[in-house]
Amino acid sequence: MERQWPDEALDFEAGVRGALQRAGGVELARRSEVDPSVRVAVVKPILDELGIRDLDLSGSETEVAATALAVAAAGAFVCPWPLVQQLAVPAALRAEVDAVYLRDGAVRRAEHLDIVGPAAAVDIVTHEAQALRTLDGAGAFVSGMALDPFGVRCELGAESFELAALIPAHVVLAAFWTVGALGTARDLAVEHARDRQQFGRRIADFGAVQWHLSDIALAHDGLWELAGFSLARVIDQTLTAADTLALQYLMLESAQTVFIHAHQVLAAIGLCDEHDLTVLERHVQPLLRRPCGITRTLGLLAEEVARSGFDNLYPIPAAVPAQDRGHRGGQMQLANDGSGLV
Amino acid sequence: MIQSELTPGFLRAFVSSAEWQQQATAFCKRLARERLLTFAWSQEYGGAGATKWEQTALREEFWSAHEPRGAQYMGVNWVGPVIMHFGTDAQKHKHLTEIAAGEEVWCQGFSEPEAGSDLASLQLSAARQDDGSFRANGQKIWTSYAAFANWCFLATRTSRGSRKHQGITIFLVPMDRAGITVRPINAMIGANHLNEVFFDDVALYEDEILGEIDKGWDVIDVVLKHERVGIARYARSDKILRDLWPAVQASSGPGSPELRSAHARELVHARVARLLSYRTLVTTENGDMPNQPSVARIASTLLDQQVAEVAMEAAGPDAVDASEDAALGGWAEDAWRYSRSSTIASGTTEIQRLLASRAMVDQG
Repeated sequence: MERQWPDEALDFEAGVRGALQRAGGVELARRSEVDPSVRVAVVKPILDELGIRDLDLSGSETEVAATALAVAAAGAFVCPWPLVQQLAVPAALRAEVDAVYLRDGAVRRAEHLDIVGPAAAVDIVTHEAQALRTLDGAGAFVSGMALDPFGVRCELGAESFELAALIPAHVVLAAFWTVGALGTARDLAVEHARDRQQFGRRIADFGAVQWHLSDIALAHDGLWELAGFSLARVIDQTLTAADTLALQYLMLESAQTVFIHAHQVLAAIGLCDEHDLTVLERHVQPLLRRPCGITRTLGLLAEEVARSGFDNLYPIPAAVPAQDRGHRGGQMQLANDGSGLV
Repeated sequence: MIQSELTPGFLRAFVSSAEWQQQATAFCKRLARERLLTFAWSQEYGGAGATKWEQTALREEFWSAHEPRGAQYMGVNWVGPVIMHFGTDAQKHKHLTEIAAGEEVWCQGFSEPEAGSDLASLQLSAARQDDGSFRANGQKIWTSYAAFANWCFLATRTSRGSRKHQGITIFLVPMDRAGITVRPINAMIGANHLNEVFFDDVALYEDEILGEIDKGWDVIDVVLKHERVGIARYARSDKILRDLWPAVQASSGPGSPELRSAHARELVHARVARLLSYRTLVTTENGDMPNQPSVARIASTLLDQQVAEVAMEAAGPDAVDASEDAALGGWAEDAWRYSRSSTIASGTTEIQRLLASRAMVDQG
């Protein structure tokens, strides 16, 4: 239980964070929203220079750690690039599938679909995976919607794939992306509480504000720990479907908590387009709302617990023997030898 | 060992009778014989030199079984370690040996009627006498296990400095000393759990002082650090969720999907509370992130209450029925009553939130 990040992975994370910060940080997302071509013209070269897009979640333990930390560092600025969707695909498969999206039944929109190669969408319940293509042809865009700034209208194609094992990879990376964004939101709230003076003293000294900050800390830190725990299970190939849904659930719950409380601390200024908090919150929404919301996720988790148990300190027993569970109750099947799926 | 040494009825939240206390004492002596009572202490002090993770595993077993050590968990978790830190050789020899043998039961003389969360405002006085001894006068309250304890870890005021944290002195006092009166307070968390303790001209002596005179806040600071991380609270909630599972799984009809979802949600929260506690075990040693113990404690205490609510839901209309033929065997209401104290005992949630947020703000 004593997790230590490899130094090499931490160095890589620091490099990503520094490069994105120098390039403008959250401002990159703001600029891309106004001019979507910034993503390919400015963001992509930065990511390529860093080598992020070459990382492989089915690589060595250090590479897996570097992948997760790099995604968290990018999430800290809601970097406008579909890193989660691309890095969830093992390197060995990328010629065939460049980005993977999750769906729960029908799919109408997918973020950044206009700037990725061949994409596929996996149904989180049936595990059917099909090609995903833009409705309006290559280069079509742009949503302009506040909560779906890079959403692209799309439809499923006829081509099918076997990509069920990428669901946990997607969820784990989405959790790291989200916790990165939540960390920035926390820092903004703390900084404001420290600097903002009302009634002759800093607002951090008011109990109500302290209450908000501690709720933020609990939600952020809990997600960080569970994401790390889940990543360790990715590495040793023991992540179950219930583990994945548990992480997905906590990601949604933590994001709700952090943003609600951060807004209360920052008050009106946090709602302004010029403030990073509002950009962070808006840009993280597509990952939180697709493929499904918190109630649906919790329902799926409850079903999965009933089916395959839950490995806590006092484990919930599985109703169905492991060998009879098929894909859905099975463990995450990503090889750590660079060979892609197993 | 827990199952074989203790009667099933013991395994509830409250040790509420002298008979059960005797069982706890006998259990501690058995643990002591096998060097499991002070498992993580060094061999020099009668321990087994276990690692923090081995100690954690043991704590999880104990707490999930409703702490069969009774009051003695305090001696092991924080009294002993604080005596190791501040005690004289004579204090170490006497108390550490006896705690390790399962002979000493401690109570904590901290809270007073006008000094709860604001502990530094304590007023119980210990006035120096001409012969060098002290006389204690005043009252403590909410003192767990005072009726069973043979020693009190007593915080007194020996002088008044410019700050209220100055002038506090800690004494290690035998509870059978003349002038000490214990009065139990009946409460929803069980009889004998809370007490008032009155000190009427109680003689205290210089060799009973722990640490330096007037610098007792330094001792209390270390006590609180040990106290807040020394209990594997999440383990009890985790076990309750497992014990609830057959009823949750079997439930049918209106409300069943919601119950299963609530149970699943708390499984996630229990896992997170455990992970946050484990993180604290590592980082408190490294001196990192001072808000982490408070964050972990908030997670575990809120979990107690959330899980207890799920248990009450699962018990349905029998939730308030404590009889053995009620749904779930009548234990849901016991867990629920216990959970009411979780966010209050050993530092309220409000204090933990203050500590957590202050650490975040001051780090910048």
